[in-house]
Amino acid sequence: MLVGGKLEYLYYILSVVTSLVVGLVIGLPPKVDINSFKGNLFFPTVFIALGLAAVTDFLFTLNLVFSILVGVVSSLFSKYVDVIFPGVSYGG
Amino acid sequence: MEVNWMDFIKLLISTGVCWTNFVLVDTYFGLPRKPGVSGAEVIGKTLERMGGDINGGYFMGNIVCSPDASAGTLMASIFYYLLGFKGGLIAALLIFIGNRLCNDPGYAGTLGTFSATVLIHLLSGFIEPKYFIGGMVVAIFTIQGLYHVGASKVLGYIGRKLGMI
Repeated sequence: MLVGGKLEYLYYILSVVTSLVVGLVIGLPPKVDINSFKGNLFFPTVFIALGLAAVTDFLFTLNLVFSILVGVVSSLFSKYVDVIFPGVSYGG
Repeated sequence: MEVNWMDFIKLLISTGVCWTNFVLVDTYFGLPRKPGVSGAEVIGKTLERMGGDINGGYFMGNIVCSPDASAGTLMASIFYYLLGFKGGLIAALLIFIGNRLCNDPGYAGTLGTFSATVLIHLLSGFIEPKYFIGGMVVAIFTIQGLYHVGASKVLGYIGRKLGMI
């Protein structure tokens, strides 16, 4: 394994894979635009999934249900990220 | 007083790694190109008036006004020191939220934090994470503390060399 060689890191990979699959299903665009505030399939989906999985790992415990739940939540967050954190039009 | 040269060498190497990481990531994601908020524009224009480079000034203003890869590298070092690799992942999540609160799409900060975490993990066999905390403080001091006009010229030069302006 990449880190430490423990089985629990499979749950992180499962979270990321779930978020990507759910992201495809709910129609996140696969094209990355670094000037846009809208989410796409990879950003911020992957990093939200990894971060939330780590937070869940520290606060509770990471199991099959939680890691799938984290994947679903992070793709939904990515879908509505421009509504939750909108940018203002300035300087561009 | 006995000086531990190994500590000094480790600090120097981690300073170089942190400096390269945040300058390259921030330049690639367009920090020198335009100011994100009005504070960054004021800093850029002021540095130009003092004889510095306006694009380097925008870079420095954006660093001050939003947690970009510089703050990301520092957060990654601290979180890796405290919580290990998973801590770096949490740091990336927090930096993303901080970026969005500062009118920044968040690519530079989040990817800079992630790349710093990976670099610290890869080097952790030789250099312990505590050296990266010190190294990042020294690295950001060379940009934001030592000599602003010169730093803005260096950052503008790197941005032009990489073709990002």
